Amino acid sequence: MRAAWLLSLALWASPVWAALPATTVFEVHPANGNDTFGACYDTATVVTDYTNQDTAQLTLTDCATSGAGVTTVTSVTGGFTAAMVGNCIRIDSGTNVTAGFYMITSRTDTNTIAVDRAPDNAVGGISGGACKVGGAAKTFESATTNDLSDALVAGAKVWIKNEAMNEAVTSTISGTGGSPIILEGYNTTRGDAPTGATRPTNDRAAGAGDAWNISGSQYLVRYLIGKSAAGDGFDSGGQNIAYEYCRATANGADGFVSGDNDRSNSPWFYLESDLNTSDGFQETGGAAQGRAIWSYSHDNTAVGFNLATHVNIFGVISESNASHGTLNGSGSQHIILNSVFDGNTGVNTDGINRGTNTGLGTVIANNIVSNNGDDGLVGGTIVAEFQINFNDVYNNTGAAYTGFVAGANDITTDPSFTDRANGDFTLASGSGALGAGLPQSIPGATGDYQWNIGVDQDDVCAGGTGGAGGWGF
Amino acid sequence: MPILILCLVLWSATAWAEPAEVAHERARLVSSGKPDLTAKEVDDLTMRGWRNRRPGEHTPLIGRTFRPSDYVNDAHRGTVDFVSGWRNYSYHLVQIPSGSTVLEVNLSQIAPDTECVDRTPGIYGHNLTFQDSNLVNCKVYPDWTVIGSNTAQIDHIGNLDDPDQVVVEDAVYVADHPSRIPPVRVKPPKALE
Repeated sequence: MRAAWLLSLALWASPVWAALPATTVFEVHPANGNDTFGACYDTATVVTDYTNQDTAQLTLTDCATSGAGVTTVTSVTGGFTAAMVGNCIRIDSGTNVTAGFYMITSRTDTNTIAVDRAPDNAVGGISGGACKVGGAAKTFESATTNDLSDALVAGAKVWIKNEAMNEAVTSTISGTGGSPIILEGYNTTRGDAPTGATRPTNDRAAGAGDAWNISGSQYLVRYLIGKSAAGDGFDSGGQNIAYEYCRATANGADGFVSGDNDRSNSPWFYLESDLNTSDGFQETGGAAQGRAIWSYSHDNTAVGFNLATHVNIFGVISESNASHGTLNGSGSQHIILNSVFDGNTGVNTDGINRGTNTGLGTVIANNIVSNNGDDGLVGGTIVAEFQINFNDVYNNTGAAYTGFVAGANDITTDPSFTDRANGDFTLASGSGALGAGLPQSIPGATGDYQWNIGVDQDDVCAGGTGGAGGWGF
Repeated sequence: MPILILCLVLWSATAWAEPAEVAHERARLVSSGKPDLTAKEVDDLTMRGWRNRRPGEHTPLIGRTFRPSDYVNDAHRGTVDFVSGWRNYSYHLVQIPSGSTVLEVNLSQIAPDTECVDRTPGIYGHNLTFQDSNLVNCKVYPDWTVIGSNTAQIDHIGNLDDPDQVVVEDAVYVADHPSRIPPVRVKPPKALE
């Protein structure tokens, strides 16, 4: 009985069940980091953050504990400082070591610290431990066990510096609704919100797999690029994975994808997906609610926005793809507003192909659907007036409408984009889409609320406002 | 005499009742400021339902009523010229002047090791530089310089039951470069070529 109790205690003390705190922040330097470095700190307790550097602050080879389950780590060599409290110590190898990131919770002296959980393998105390404090990690999935991907916890944040990167990143740990896991890129200074090529680029160089594969749930992914993977740029296997300011380019499959089962509420904001061999954006989950907002899908080999069920598209541009501008499945709640579907190429390529669903939840309004290889709008019966209205359907090679009938306020004039060849889909002066959008008025309210058709709301509208009066896209 | 009258009536009906596709295309071209259909294009539209793609016509590359004369199906879209401002040449063979530097284009093909650029000696396809482009399943030549581009080779599985609508259902990674495609390999069932 006593032996069993001791075994239970040993198992309880094992790091298998322990985790870093939710306030843990990791640092990744894809070119200059090292997977044996400390790489993380606790925002709640850190004295000095030593993670954002390319060298370890302290390197030891004689870390030890006095027995299994003991959280006091000693080193005869020493070098522990008070400023290291709140940083992680990576214990990577040694006798009885369970490799991993351990948080320094207190310091006794230069030779002694306490960590958040015992670093042993439940067989006995560790000895000859290779330990490093500080310095950034190099990868998410290093060759060792208990790497950065394994160490993530709900609420954790990972900073990724803009350095040369080529890794098939997989992230399986989930966050929670109130404490998502955040992956955020930066150029030179954390939080500098990089744009264009200054975002960290995971260039897979035609390697197998996805650039970024997140199968955990509850993530926020920001300011990153996935490039030249044989698979997807960003593949979301979990639910509620939000992307902002990312780009997927020249990948061998989809740009952004949420796949095979219920992956609801995966919003896409301010994204670019281009030159990918399959869809720019794909959301095909059973009860998925793809939400594409202010995003740009162009020059992909398949569909611009391939969204299955409860589609929400607002303020997107889908152009020059080799299949439909958007293809929507059987769901009944498609909302497609203020978007541009232009110049998508193919004998059967439509601007908006909504399938045959006739649900009243569908609203297609204020869109420009122009110059596509086949029809403009394809879909089923529309009953209510608000469902299709105020669209500019112009110069599509096939029929303007197939299945649908034209909305009462749809127009068929050249939208006159400023410079579509160079990706400028703003409305040039004199465009018929200016001031021709929904709504003309809001019942019970006074004033002129009329928008432009399309994405661009920054020019003169019917209300006479311009510049600051628009949305400022 | 009645037969002659009947023939005249039929001829007259054919001449005056322009096929709807011709009328539609004529109206579309005129409304978008492009030249009207030629007599040959009217014949093509009447006889086969589409006309040859005109040189320089690039918005979009193909459509219901126009395509290259060597168009086969949705996965083999025929030969087109390289035009400034258009970057998506998926499933096409493109004529890029030799010595060109090409930035951010999509030349994806359906099957590995496919010619994606016309290599007419002295004119097209030699000494090219590709930067940040998608060359998935393209045959890559030694005289090309390839920078930051995707040269992955991938088998695509699906169907062309509707020849104008390729359906890709799955993909199998073959190699990171056409030169590293295994000399002996078994293609998956229903691999598209």
